[in-house]
Amino acid sequence: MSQVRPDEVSAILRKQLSGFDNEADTYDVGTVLEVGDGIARVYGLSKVQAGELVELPDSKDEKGTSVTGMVLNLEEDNVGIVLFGASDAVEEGHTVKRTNDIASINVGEGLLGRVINPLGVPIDGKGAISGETIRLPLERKAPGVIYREPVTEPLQTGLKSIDSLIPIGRGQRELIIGDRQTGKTSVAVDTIINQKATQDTDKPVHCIYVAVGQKGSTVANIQKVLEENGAMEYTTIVAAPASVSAPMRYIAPFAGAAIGEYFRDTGRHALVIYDDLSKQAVAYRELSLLLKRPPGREAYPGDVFYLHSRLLERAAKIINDDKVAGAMNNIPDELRPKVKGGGSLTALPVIETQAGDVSAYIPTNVISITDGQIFLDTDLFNQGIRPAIDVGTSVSRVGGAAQVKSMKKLSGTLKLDLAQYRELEAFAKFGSDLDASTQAQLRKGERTVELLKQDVYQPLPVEQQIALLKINDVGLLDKLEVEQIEEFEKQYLETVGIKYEDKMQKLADSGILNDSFGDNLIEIAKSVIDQVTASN
Amino acid sequence: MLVSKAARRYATALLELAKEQDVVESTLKDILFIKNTLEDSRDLVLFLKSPIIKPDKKVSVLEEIFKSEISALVHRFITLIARKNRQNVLDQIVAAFVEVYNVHAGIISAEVFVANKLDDKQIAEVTQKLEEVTGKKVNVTIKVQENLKGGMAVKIADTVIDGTVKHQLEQLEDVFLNTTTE
Repeated sequence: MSQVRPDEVSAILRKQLSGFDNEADTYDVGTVLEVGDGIARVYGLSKVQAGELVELPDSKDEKGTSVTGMVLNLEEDNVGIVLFGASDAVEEGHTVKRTNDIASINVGEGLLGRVINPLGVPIDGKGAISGETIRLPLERKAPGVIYREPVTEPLQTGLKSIDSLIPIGRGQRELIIGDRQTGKTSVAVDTIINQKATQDTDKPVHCIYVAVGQKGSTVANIQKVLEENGAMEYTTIVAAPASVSAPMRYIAPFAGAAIGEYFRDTGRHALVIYDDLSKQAVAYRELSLLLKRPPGREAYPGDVFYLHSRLLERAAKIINDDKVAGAMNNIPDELRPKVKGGGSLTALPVIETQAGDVSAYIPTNVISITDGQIFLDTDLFNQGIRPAIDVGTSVSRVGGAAQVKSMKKLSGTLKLDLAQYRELEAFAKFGSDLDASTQAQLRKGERTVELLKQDVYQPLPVEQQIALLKINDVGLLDKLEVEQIEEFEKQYLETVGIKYEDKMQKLADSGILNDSFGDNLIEIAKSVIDQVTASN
Repeated sequence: MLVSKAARRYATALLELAKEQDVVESTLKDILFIKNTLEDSRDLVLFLKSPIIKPDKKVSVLEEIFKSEISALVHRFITLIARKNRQNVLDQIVAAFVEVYNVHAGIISAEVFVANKLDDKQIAEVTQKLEEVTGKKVNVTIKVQENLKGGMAVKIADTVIDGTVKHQLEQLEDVFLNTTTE
């Protein structure tokens, strides 16, 4: 058994003590007047700032951790504080200490692969966050107009229906909206998994998954899925499950944004998923009502719109110019020397609707803030169309500019086909009574819808998506029965992958599908179709 | 003590009036007399705060207790408070008056926390030092708390200057627990 030598111990102790000065320490205090429902009213603390963290040293438990809180209300004769810990440890008359620290989180490369709480404390049992960290404020003003750039680079989700019809660009804010159990989280997790392909390129996308008000088991499950798919190494999970206090759930998305901003401002790319913002709004409503702020529509406080708009505004594509980016507004001093241009923060907020009601308060707010939305529909989900994306009502307002060229070309006809199919869908039951052209359109539509189906956690690289959509575009799929499409897809991609490995790589790099390679693909498709039809 | 807005307004008004009539010091004496009476008699405070007892009754009791002891101005003030049905905040009003008087006279109050009792000479030294540092007259209240172990902490308004052994030990604990050694 190895032992620590006594002289080593004393050397360490000496080193630790050498930096310890015993001068008198000055701090500001207040006294708890009343406490309840996770809120404390405090007398004193006259110089405290809004959003500042405070400590309640009298509430120490046997483990030595004391309750912390955040100042939210500054009133004439008292201060309203939200408590992050258990409020039953706090009593009337307890001392409240200022920390002179606006609510912040320690951010660094060491966060990747970790699960943390919204205050940056790791909760995965893997010890302290390693490496250098920078303290960044949770609330930070979004970059100004001159530090931004239009969205031009694609962020591939690996989902055929999204990448083709509702493309997302780096720096975009795309809402994922739908009822419960429609696969919102799966779309988000698929997107994270698909970023694995970017890790070997010079523009890797770092991911942050913020779980707000979710079941603890769901969070653990997502962590497991990400680990199994090798996606955890470039992902941070900020977990504020349903069991934590409302203030924690309220600040969780801001913590996620602060981590994303670290990558964004250092010239790298990040993707943050807020799952979900309706639960955050509920937590904020809880806090606001307890702080006696006046309730508005659906009892949400008046500033619930600003709550989400300031959060989502922080997603941005930063100008690709180090000099201009270096002068960016509201950069903490510690981060300033590391600032580089060209980074981006993409946000995928999630909103859960009740019975498909998108005209409720929070959904309309967030729809109007974001650059588009992905609608997930219960009926489609139950019909087995998964991902259950309603391509008719889903839009991406800025992603088109970021789409891969040949994908853009293919998506034009794809959109048209689907729109026409939807129009005719109601007549499908008349079957053979319809004229030939209508029947042909229905046939093509059915196959297109089938082609856009995709299994969960199986994202497809964009070149494979293009290769598939090309075959649909030329109408070859019409020769197959709907049930044969899945089999065709599998065999076709396999064959293409083996036969044209280098050409597919070229397609992935350039995004341009030239005519000769297109013909090659059609040829392979034809032979695979023959095989599939023959085997049945 | 948390002082309500109403109490602060009554106290400010009384001070303004006393300044006008140039009777600030005697008013303070009367107010301190009321303050001490209220502090010594919890029954009286409870009596004044009780919602069951009729306001007239409270007025006559206040009359009886204070009439012979206080000046005409403070007497009128108490009558006004009684008429406005604010007897329940009388304790806050007197506390607020002491506060506004201290601001007016440039006096600050400081609480000194120590582990062992100080003798008069030490108190005088502390007071003198605090007056030097703040440049104002300082009212010192000494509070003995044995768990501080040693040293001294001074609290002026909301700011604490903490040089106690207890606090230093806590800081030391923090240093040991929160720094990693490679």
